[in-house]
Amino acid sequence: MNNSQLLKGVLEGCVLIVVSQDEVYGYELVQKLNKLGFTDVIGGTVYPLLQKLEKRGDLTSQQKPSSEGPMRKYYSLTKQGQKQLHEFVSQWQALESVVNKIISQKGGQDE
Amino acid sequence: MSKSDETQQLIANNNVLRKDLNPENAKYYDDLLVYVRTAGILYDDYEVESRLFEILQDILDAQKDGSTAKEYFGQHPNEVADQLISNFPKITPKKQLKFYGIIFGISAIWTLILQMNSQSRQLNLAPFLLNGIFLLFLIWGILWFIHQSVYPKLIQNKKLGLLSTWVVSIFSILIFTGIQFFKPKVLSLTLTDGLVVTINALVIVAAIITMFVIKKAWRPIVIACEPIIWVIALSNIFKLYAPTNMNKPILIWTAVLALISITWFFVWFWRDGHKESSEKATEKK
Repeated sequence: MNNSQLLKGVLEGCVLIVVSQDEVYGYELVQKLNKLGFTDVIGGTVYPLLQKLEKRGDLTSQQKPSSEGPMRKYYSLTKQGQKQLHEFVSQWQALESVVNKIISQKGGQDE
Repeated sequence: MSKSDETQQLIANNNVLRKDLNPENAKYYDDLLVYVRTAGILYDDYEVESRLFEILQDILDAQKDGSTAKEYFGQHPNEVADQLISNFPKITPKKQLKFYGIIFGISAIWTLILQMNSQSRQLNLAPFLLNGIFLLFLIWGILWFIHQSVYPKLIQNKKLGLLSTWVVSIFSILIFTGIQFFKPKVLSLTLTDGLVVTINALVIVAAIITMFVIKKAWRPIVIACEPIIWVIALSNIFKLYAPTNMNKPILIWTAVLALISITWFFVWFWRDGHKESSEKATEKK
């Protein structure tokens, strides 16, 4: 998948979902996203996103000792972030069914 | 721990951790570090440093897993950095005021010493204002220049870059000298003996207080400058009350003491640098 505008909005929602499962630090998040299938996502994409989500109040961060020892900046979801997450999921499901319907009718091909 | 202590701690940790980067990643990260740190004077230090430290830790993780900084952070670090910079919070207006206050304070002390040391018994207010403004522009200009030259957009040619640095330096010296002669009569105060003593005494007291209240990071340079300020301010006071035949000895003594102070200034910095490099050496072992 490439780094298109479409992806950016979706990625934002997916970051909220990943963070909601367990608090993560930056590198961990990039790896999780890679494993989930966002193979092209790199640190350079994630930091501005995390910063934006934190500024908006969807995420909060805290310095905590990591499993390997040193302090890391861990991100977790806020209440507002949770709300944002639910909104994303319902919007995505609505959009998905519409897009799928269009694709199945038109066969996804240019005619 | 206060926020500014935490920031200092982050910078210190960054300095230590950075040594674990391999040469290729070190070059990549150092560029990013300089680019972000020189982006502006009024960004919240803590936000900037904690973001930089986070990225450093993550690049080191990537390095352990066998990827380069470029693979992890991307081909266009300047674009990512610009996005991050545009979202850094600015420091509070109160802190901004404090920053400008320090700049004008430092320039005021120098202006005062320069004017006091002349024979004219006149104190002109114009250089106080102009020196402060000029110092501010100089700091801003130097940062801007370094920032622009990390990922060259403006000046691609290295020789041209050096030439423009030279031109800017010469201009700075000219402007700074020019300001000292710009003394409109309206803004001139004639000094009485009492005022000369009071002002010089205040300079000494202020210099001593500064030594104790200033941030740890700035302390070495303040301690290094301190004796020069004391010597000049004290000689300004002695000049007033000494009999005329003592003028020459006072001048000689001032010169000798000033020389010692300047030596102190350099010895202090040499020792400071020496200490740091020997610390580095022991860490490598």
